[in-house]
Formats: sequence, structure tokens, C-alpha cells
Amino acid sequence: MERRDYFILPLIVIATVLVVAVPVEAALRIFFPYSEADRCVVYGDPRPSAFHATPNCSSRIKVPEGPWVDMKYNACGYRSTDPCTPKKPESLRLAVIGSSLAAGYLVPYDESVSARARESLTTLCRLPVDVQNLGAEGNMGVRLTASAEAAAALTPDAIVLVVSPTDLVLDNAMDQAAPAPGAVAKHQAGWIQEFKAQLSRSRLLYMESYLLLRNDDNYVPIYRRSGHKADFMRLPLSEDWQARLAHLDRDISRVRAAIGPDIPLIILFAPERAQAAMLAVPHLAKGMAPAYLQSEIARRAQAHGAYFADMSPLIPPGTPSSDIYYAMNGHLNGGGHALLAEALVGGLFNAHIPAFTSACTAPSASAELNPG
Amino acid sequence: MSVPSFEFFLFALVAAGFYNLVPMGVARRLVLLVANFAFLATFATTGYDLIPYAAFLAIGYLFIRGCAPIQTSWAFWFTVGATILLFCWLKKYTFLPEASFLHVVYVQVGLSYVFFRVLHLVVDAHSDERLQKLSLISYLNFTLNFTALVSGPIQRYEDYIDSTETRPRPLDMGVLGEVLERLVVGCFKVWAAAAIVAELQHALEFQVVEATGLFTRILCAAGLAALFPIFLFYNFSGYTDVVIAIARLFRIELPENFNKPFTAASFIDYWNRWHMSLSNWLKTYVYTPLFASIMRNVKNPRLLAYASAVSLFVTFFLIGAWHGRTSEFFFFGFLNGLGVAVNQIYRTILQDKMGRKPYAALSARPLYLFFGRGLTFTWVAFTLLWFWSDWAQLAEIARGIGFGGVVAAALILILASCVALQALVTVDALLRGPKLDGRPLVLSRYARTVFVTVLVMGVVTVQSVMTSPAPDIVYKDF
Repeated sequence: MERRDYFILPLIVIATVLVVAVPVEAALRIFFPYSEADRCVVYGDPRPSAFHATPNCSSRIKVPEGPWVDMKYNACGYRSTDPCTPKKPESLRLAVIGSSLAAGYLVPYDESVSARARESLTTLCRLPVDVQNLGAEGNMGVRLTASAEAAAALTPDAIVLVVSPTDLVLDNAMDQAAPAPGAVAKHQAGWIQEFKAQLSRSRLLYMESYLLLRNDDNYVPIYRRSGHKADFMRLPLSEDWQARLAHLDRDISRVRAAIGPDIPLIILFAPERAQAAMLAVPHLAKGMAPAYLQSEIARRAQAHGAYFADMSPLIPPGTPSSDIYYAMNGHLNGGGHALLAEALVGGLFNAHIPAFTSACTAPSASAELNPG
Repeated sequence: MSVPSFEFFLFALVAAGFYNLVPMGVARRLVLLVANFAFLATFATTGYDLIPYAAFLAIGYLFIRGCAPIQTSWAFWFTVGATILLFCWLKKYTFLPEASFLHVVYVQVGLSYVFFRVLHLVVDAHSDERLQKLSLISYLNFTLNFTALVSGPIQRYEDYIDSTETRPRPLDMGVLGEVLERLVVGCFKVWAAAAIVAELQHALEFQVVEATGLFTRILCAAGLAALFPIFLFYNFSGYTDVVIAIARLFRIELPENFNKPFTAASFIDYWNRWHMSLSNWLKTYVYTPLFASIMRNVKNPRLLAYASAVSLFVTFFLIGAWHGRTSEFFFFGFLNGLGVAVNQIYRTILQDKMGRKPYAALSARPLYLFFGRGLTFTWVAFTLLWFWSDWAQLAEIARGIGFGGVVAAALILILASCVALQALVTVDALLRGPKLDGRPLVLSRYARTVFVTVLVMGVVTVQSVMTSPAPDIVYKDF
């Protein structure tokens, strides 16, 4: 080997990688576009107003692993095909609050929890049913209370608060002070940061990660090693997670106060993707307690006179989590929303809410629910 | 420990580091011995699992040191027979009574390859006095050489001792580059190429029975037959590339096992290019003595021409039978034996009728090679049906497409393989056309660096896309 080869050969390797990677990256950007931001949603301050969508707005969003999704909002800025006019007599109304999960983020409206619940209830009930979805990305903490007040103003027969472990993390963040203007830009300044940002947006790396992480045998061990994020499945619960549960407890209390005693409140729980994988394939959960957090949330719901419905028991054993979640993004996909809607409808009937029990026939099997 | 695996690479790198750090001689041999024992131990749950293995090696050593010097034919046949019988008993061949087997779990990994090495020493020790003084450490390092333990290649002791003790091969940056290149090629074959072909084969296995149209099922049957030889080649030759590269880190030069086998234009030539270390071993220890024995006993010179065919039949029948203990493997052996015997008889008849030179000229004609390669590949694929499948599955496929379908599938396979292999040979020749400094450009280290980088990217991509791990090395079970 000649001396120059010590330089030339590594350069050839880098050049080859670039020559192969650049066209592949370009092709992936064409065939798997990425448009995550819902331009209809207004992420404005001042708090405690809820994040909301512009009335009658529509936008399209997409992650590389999913389809294009139309986000259409009604005259009140709620993701619903029903008008947000005052509730008609002799009808049933549900209001859904929460963050992106509640909003059916990345899921076509017909496949979202709201639309599916509406469809099921329309079949089961003698009265017309409408669902107003007030969910919007980031609506936790003080913003959730504002959202609950808006929901209560719609005089629904029940309000559904959708929560997941990620929402508990978000909950804490929403109540923190807003970053100083310019702080983000300063943090991202410099070509190294820019390079990192570009790399993190690489479609090739995204697809590579997707292909790796769609398999639960790869994903769960990586998630388990992800530090405090997975601590809600470790006992005893860490201080951080105890604080998050305490925040949720406070939120439920605030929501309860905002909607008043006459509107039933249902806390609808959706597990994290890793949690769902462990519940479906028990050997992946070795040393972990994937059902613990929901039992704690159920206890807190009960303490505030709210009902609790859980999607976790409805996950068929052995189901790969990528069948019900977006593998990279982590949100529930259409299949996951079907299970969430099933848990919601089952929960509504197990709660024996008079408006529903008097006007509807209960489905044959109802989801597990702890009445408050 | 799987071979290849990152665990194996790490183990080999650490062992090679120590091996090259210590001075040549006893110290190196001891490092290699520890590595060999440590590798073998990874297959055992407890020390008891290794007792049968140890007993086999101990008896082999006893035969070499104790019985070989007796120098009688009785001692020779006793030690050879006992070694074969002991191996068959440990491998639980079905022709032995079931009740006689050990009904405990014990390590068998690589036992077949250890058997070939032990038997080779037992046989040669009767005529080679140096082997009668074989030291225990050299014996164990040769028979248990961890780089070639799992599935070979089968090395002769003279070659092994030459590269470890007499003339260790140099290890410089150039060699390390070649080692890396070969590791990448091997990993690509096992983890990408073989994995993809196996996936395709699984899909066709389903389609050949479930597809609605008869023509689709016939095409699937032809495709299914064609894919297994390709899978086996990538799987086994990939493994061989990896272990040859790893052995090179220990300055050991293992023999090659493959030489473009699918470009062979006759079945005999195919076996000269496929699993070469096994076929060479059997030619040395079965074919040659058997042929010599027939020659001594047959007086009619006309029949001598066919003695080679009989010897080849026996040799290649044994190759097939060695692979497994079921009737399918015996039939696989029969077809292999039949293939080489018929090939030999055909060659003898043509040479008799045409003369040697005209026959050689005929064999070199492009059209002859075109059909020869296709027919050879088809026969290989046909024999391998009994390697990867069983009677019941084959009967189900045959029933599904009928006798006419079987014939049609065979004709499709012959034609397709003639065309595909011709294309392969043509592309290979075209790639080797452009020259740099008198050598084909594709063989320059710059072109090879590009090639290896692309292969690494291919492995990463395929490993990401595949939802199941790549199949294990097929020959690990033999």
C-alpha cells in the first residue's frame, strides 16, 4: 500500500457514501414528504388561553411514515364535522379535550377517536350524536383548564379528557415560564448547530430509524434505556414522575372545577408505544410495570369524581406496536384510534351517565372503567 | 456464539491481538489454545456438555499416538473404523440403534469438521512418522481451530502447521485491508444477499401451493428450486469469507471453499468449485484409494474406464449422506453420485468416440458452455430439493402442478439459468475489461474500496429493512 492511499482510501469511502446518499436523500424527500406543522393551530400567549385552531381553517399534514391528513376545523376552531352551535334539544353531545392525541393528530378525521366514537354512538343511540373536538397540540396544564371551560360552554353530556404519559411530561412544560424571545435562535446559531439540525431532518436517517424502530424487539430495549422517559414504568416511581402525577391531579381538579359538578368527566388513557408493546408482548416488560401509571391515574380520577377508561386492556396480545402507532412519531395511528374509541364508548356506558344510558343501548362488551 | 456476529468479531479481535503480541512459538500456540477452548465453551451450558466432544478428541489422539506406530493393516482399519463409528454414534445416525445413543444434551457444533481433521490425522499417521509424535497442543489447536470449527473449511494438517508454526503469513496494513474487505463481502453475503434470497424463497414456498393459476404455480416451483442454491451459496460462501479473513488475523491461511461454482459447465466441474475443501478431502481419502483398489482388482482394461465413475459415485454419495441422517439426505447423496458418475461416463464415451482434443474443443465452444452451465445449475437445484425440503413437501408441490408442470418447471429452469448464467459470465468479462496498470480496473484497491463501501451501506440498509434476522449458517447443523 502506498503512503497516499492512507488519505485517498478514506476519501473514496466518504465520496462513495455521499454519491449514494445524496440521490437517495433527494428521492426520499420527493417520495416521503414531511409537513408536521398544522398551520391552522394558533400557538399564542397569553396564558391561560388554550391553543386553538383558526375557525373554518383547513391544512394538510404528513409524516414520512403516514398518509397526507386533512385537518379541517369548524366555525369554533374545533376539529369536528358537526357545527358548534348550541346543543340541540333531544340530542347527545360529547366534548373531547386534551393535546394532539385528543385532536387526532396525523390521523384522518374519519379514523380519529372523535369520529369513531361518534359513529359508534350513532349506531347505539336513538338520538343524534355530535362530538366537538377541542384537542390541540400542547393543551395541557393551565391551557387545559381554559379548554375545559370552552368545552363546558358547549353544554355537552360528557367531557372526555384524553391523556397519555407524554401529556404528563407536556403538562409540566406548559406551566413553565416561556423562553425569552431570541433564546431559541441564539441556541441554534452556528454552522455546527445548523449541520446538526439538517442532519436531524435527513429523510435517509429518518427512514433508517423508522425501519429499525418499527420492530418492537429493537424499539423497546432502546426505549427502556432512554432514562427518565421510561421511568413511569419503573417502581418505585421516580420523583419526577410523582411530580407529574401531582400536576395531573391538579389539572383534573381544575378541569373538574371549570366544568362544574353536572357534566360528567371521563379520563381516557392511551398508553405510550413502548408501554403498549410491553402489554402486548409480556416478555418485553421484564422488570418493568407497564400497567402501573394508568392505575395511579385511575385512582386520581376517582378521587375527583371523574370516570376512568383505559385503552390498554383492548390491545390484542402479540400485536406489534407499529400496527397501532406511528413507529417514529409515536402518536396513535388509525388502528390505535379505533381501540381508543372502543375504550371511550365502553367507558361511557360503564359510567352509567344518564343521558347515554337512557337514550342508547350499551355495546356488548364495555371497556374496563373505574367509576368515581 | 454465532458466526458471523459482532460478538464473534470482538472475540476474534481480542484473541488475535494477544496472539500477535506474544512471541512466536509456544506462547502463541497457548494463546490460540485458550481462544479455541473459550470459543468452544460458548456453546456449552455446563462443562458436562463437552465431555463427549473431549472423549472423541482424546480417542483420536490415542489412535494417532498409540495405534498408528503399530504399522499393521489391522491397526489401521481398527482405528479408522472406530473413529468413523464413534463419530456416527455421537451424531446419532439413524442406522445405529436408538437405544445406544447418549440421551443427554451435549455439544455437537463443528463435530463433523473435527471428525474430518481427526480422521485425516489417524489415516496419515500410519504412513507419516512425524504425525505419530504429534504434540497434544498442536493436535488440539488443529482440530479445534476456532476460526474453522463451526463449518470448516477443512484444512490439511501440513498446511495448518505451515502457516502457524513453520511459515506464519505476514500481517501488514495491506493484509489488514484485504481482511476488512473480505469480512465486509462475507457479511454482505450472509446478512444481506442470503437474507433477501431466503425471504423470496419463503414467499415462493407459500405461493407454489396457494397460488390460483397453474402457470403461476409452475413458475413458483421453478423459482423455488432455483433460489435455494443461490441462498446456500451466499450463506455458506459468506461464512467462509468471514472465517478465512478472521484466520488471516492469526496469520493462518485457510483453504478456499468456492470458486465461482455456478459458472461450471459440468457437474464434475461444479464439485471442483463448490465446498472444495470437503470434496478435495473425500477425493483424497475415499475416491483415490477406492479407484486404486478397483484398478488393482479389475483385470478387464475396458472396465477400468468406468472404475472412475463407480469411485466418483461412492465418493459423492458419501458427501450427500454426510449432510444428514434422514432418507432425504441419502437420496441427495444418490443424486450427487449419479450426477458425477453419468458425467464421467458421458465424458469417457465422447472422448473414446471423438478423441481427447476434439472433445476439449467441443467443451470450450460458447454454445456448449451456454447449455452446460444451465444444465449443471438445474441438476444442482434438483439435487438440493432433497436438501432443503422433505418427501411430503415435494409430493405436495408435485401434486399441485402435476407431472406436466414438473417437466415445464424443469424446462423453464434450464432455459432461465442458461440465460442468467451467460449474462453473469458476460458482465464479469466486461467488468474485467478496462485495465489500470495492466490489471483489471475493478480489482484496483480504489475500485474495491468503492465496492466495499457500497456493500457496507447495503448491509446496513437490508438489516434495517428486514423484520427478521438473517438465517443462520446452514452448514452449522452438519
